[in-house]
Amino acid sequence: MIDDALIIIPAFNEGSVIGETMAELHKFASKVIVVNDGSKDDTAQKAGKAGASVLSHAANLGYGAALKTGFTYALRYFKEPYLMAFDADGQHDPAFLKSLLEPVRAGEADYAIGSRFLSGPSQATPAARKIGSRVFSIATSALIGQKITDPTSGMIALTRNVAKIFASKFFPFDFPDADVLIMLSRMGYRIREAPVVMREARRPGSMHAGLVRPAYYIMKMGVSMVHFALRRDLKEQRREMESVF
Amino acid sequence: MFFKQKIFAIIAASALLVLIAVLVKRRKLREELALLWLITGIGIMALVIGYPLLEMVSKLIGAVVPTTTLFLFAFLFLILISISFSVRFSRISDQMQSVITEISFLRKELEDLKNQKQAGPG
Repeated sequence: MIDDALIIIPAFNEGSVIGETMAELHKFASKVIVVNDGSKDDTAQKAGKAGASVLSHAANLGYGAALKTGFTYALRYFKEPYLMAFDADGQHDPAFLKSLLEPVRAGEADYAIGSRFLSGPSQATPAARKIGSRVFSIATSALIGQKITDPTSGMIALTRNVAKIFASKFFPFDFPDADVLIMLSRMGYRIREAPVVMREARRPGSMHAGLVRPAYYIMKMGVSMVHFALRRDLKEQRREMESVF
Repeated sequence: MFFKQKIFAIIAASALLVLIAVLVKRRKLREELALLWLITGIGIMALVIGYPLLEMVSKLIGAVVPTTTLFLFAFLFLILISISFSVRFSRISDQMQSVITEISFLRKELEDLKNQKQAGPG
């Protein structure tokens, strides 16, 4: 049972699945914060009933903003040395949380990311997402000089210092993934990947569904990656942000 | 520039300046936002009234017809205004996010306090 890390779950209209996800998660971790990102359904009530600490946004701000709220809350009100992020839709297998946290606990990494591509070929990932992930994987690996196989994974473990960066103005509102890896690497944080299993989501519908959102995602991510790759002041920013909280 | 074009441009620029003045007076437009619009109106007026200036600028930028210069500057001003709005929008988004985050913390604290009170002492 993980009791030295807080698990943060951003949730938007996940009322139909959050109870099941929480029940499974509680077998592996005791402290869970659900950030209800302006859901129109009963996500907050179901999460609360399932034993999570629930924070509710008054309006829908996006996945990144919900994560940011969770990390800020954890830094301000809790003392746990490690923080983790986990999806509400049941895509992440909580059995892998412990192995994901291990390199961070051991002091070998500041940020660990769960990679579905390190744990065998039979992962429930749509073809378009696989291609997108591969493209961002190549670009990210080239920019940070370290092989990253799954930069778009939302299953992560981090230290409090990295959480301070996530709670800052540098953390994106919408889709934090490859750009955040580049930012953290340029700030001098150590990044590690750990194999995890991703399953079919319990609820259909993805934030990357349709045509407009994926197109926006690719362009926005491209701009954001170039932005962080070109910045030369990230180590100074790290020092400044770590001194907060 | 034809006389009719000149008259129309002067009327349009004057109307823009009056509209901005009225909006600022009624507190419907903040002064800092009005500044860009005032610069736009005054710029158009200056180029129309000071025709030699318009001709000089046209020559400088290689425009064949002075009206092209007017349109070009109007277009540039609109781009500047759009960028200015985007900057403001980014700042307001950040502020809104902070406010919503803080409200969520306060709600949580309030709920926790209510629950503690309901549970009673001890």
